[in-house]
Amino acid sequence: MPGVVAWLSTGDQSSRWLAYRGRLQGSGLRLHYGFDGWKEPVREVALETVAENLAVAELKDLESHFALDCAVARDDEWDNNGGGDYRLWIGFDAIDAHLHVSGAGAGPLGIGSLGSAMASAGIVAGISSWIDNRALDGIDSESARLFSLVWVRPGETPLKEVRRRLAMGAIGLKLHPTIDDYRADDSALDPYLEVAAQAGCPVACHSAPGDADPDHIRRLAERFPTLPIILYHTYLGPHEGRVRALEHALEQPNLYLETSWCRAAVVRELITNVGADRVLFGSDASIDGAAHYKRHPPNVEGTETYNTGLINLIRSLDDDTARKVMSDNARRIFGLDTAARDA
Amino acid sequence: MPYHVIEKTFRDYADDIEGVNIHYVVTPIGESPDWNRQRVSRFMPLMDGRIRRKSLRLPLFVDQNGQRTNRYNLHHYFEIIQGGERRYSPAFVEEVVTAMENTAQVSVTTGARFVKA
Repeated sequence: MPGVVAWLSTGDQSSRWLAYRGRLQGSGLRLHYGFDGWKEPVREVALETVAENLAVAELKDLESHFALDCAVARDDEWDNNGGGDYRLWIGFDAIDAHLHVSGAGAGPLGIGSLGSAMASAGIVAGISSWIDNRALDGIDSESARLFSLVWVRPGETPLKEVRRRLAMGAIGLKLHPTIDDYRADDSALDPYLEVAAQAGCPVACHSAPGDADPDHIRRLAERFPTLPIILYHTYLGPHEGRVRALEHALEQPNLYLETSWCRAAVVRELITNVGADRVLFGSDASIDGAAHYKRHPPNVEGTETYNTGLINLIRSLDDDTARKVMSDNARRIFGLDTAARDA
Repeated sequence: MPYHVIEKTFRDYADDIEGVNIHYVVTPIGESPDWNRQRVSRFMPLMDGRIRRKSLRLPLFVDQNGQRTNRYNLHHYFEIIQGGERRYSPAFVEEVVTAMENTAQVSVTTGARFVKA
């Protein structure tokens, strides 16, 4: 498992205390860091051990930066998150609205890889789902900072199970019409969406050519106009589909756009057109394993990594818009603050 | 829309299998599949015990040299997620002959003859 690097305090944008807890312990710890994707100059500051397995350092000159990238050293030993480094965002606590974890296994889709990936991108919490709901029963979602969706297969997933999982802490439903072979406006979905509406939970739906086309998702949204429906990926396909997804979101107020596999320029276009309140950052991590957010060759349309794209995106947005897209919208739509308080 | 149905099964060989998908393509007989452009992917639900089943809805006809034919190849492989790792079965090819030509009847096949692995 990766170490934990986190801000100890928020509010002051000029200086803050950072905390580290990980496999390097004792005296002589150093924080090696840079800003906004390791832009020069790279700096070092001593970490002071203040409790067992807890070291802190004060970081200054934060106000003109968006993200801090770092690793921890002691003598010649390094904790660089398995090569992925650690990132902290300065202006917000980033939430990823689209994650997957298959269970407790050690592979790229397991909880350990997802934790490393999230730490490398400064993701403090996320919304996760898996094709078999039972696979999530064996992981500690709370310590992994994950909020779960119930994967619904219409006509197959018992309504009783959906209600039970929502009552146990799941925060919404996940639909994947493509892999599960049904159309997104299938009337067999209605009983499930009625359960979601009664529970006040949103529905996330894979959006892509064919059965998961945004035209079908829009018809579903029209039948449940008070239910937030999130188009995962906005549209995983040619640009014309993203344009249609955007047009549907403009006309249907309960549709929201999630940005996994969209380049920063596309995300900016979505925000400009539909407004900052309707766009949620997501990544589909850790489909590409622990290196998901910074894989080389780049995995976002083959041209950029999430980590580089996000720096460019955040630099181009005002603080309020960045906070909404990267954090506040997911909190509001998925009710995360309420869920955390109830827990 | 009418279609031809073939049921595929997969038996979980371990307790830590976290999901199984089947990927498939149909082609005219003798042609290679273009997995990147034509692949269809379906989740295989666990139906009872360790057995997963999925009914694939296949076309009644494919186009071969400008002619419609009810004989074609089905190519498929399994993607198994086990302990967070993706594993892949070999790709299989089988010949499919849909039951009726130029009709809207839906036919069901539960077995398949493997002609090449």
